[in-house]
Amino acid sequence: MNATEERLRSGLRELAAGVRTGAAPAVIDIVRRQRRQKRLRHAIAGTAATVLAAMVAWFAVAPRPVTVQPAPLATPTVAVDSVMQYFGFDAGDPLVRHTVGVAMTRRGPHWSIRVTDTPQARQAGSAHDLEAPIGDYFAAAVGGRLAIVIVPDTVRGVQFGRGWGWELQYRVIKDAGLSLAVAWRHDTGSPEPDLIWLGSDDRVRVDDGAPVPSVRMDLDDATIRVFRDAGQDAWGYFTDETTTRMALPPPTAHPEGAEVRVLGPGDGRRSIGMLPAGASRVTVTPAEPATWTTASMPDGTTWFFVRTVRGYTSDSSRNRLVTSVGYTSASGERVSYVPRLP
Amino acid sequence: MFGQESRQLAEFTAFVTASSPYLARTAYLLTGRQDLADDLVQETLTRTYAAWPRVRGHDATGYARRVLVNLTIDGHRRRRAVLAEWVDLPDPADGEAAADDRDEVARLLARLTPQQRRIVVLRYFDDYTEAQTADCLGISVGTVKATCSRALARLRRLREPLREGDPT
Repeated sequence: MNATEERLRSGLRELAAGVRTGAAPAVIDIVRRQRRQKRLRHAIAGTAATVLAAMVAWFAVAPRPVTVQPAPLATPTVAVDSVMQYFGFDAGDPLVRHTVGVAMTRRGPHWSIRVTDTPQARQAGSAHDLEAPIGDYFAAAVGGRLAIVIVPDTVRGVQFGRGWGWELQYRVIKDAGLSLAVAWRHDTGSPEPDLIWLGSDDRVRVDDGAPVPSVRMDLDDATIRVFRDAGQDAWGYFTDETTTRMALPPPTAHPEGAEVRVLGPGDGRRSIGMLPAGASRVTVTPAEPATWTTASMPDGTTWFFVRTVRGYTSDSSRNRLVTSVGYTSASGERVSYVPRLP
Repeated sequence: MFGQESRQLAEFTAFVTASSPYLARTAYLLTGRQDLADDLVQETLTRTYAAWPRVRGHDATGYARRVLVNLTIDGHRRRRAVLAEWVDLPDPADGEAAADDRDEVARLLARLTPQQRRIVVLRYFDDYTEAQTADCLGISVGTVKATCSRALARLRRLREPLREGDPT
């Protein structure tokens, strides 16, 4: 580093040290107010639903002529005939949320789908009609800002393989034996998202393709499932805590020879990494009291998983947990290295 | 349901407490003004809370930093008039200010273009690599290198007269 860069770095830190940092209380007040408004909306909706249920019950018990209709045919793939789900998105302005409704009705071998996008208390909404085969993976772009995905499985986790700039939400609908994901595009330049999901069979799949190689590693009560799609040069992980939300590593991280910190909430601080091909007899030296384990994927790659002995934490530190990693190479040579931090 | 919300709010409160000083410093370096920095941090954290269910399991600080940088970009695009305010810093001819290193850095930053300033702050305050800076700004690594190089050259040129006691 030259003198200008060094002087600039120290100058920036000196300049930043004098900055007032008092926004936190105001922000907490704002989000608390938003929560109260949300609860009020829920209460109003609940009251309306109660009134509606009472009216329906009154009509149900009122005397009326009895009609006999033939029973509907049994459907082996789907236990329900309709699905209705709502998703809320902040489209750039947190005070004007969009409500996306997805109404699915069974029509023979297909789902007839109506997707509505309604901005909160402002402009008129829009509606789009789709049709999806029952029992198959289905993905479609809707109106340029939305994407809808139906996974024919009650998934344990969903995340994006790519598509930064999209916000993903999903629901598992057990009665229908499917999972419904809706993504909202915040950045217009973002590529179309592809979905990575951890299925009910504990296997990781990309979109509707075949399972990608993955391995599960357990340390006491902590579990991590690492997957790697060498063909797509993609990898990632699902943890216990993040199987219901995004859990991708930084896009610049490459796992081989590296220590990738598993950030976010979890039991203890955690890191994972991939060893060079052909590695065996692996030893991991943690930088602090920790337990570790290793496992090999079906594609032959070996991974390590390290977890510090601590209670619940939400980790955002990128400090290393691993001092060194040793292994025996494919040629029988004993090798030791310090994993890099991507 | 509310129990889960309360837990999320507790997590978010801890995140705000931990990250807001850092975000405020970054916002100030990006804008050069305390009041704008306060507004940006508040907007950044409000947006981060809106996305909290999906970022809490990921790198929330990284997400907030990216929101912050994007907000400064949006601010420059939408409100050109504000740009003039953002660079409204002490005049270089002010000898008293020139004696202070911090004022000198602030004054030098104000002479950079918004993009140069963002790259300099990310590279030398946030300690981002060139690849991370490119990823955060949505530009190529080559653009980061070239822009950073031009920014450093400009800073060197601007610093020379000051160092020699000739702040013209």
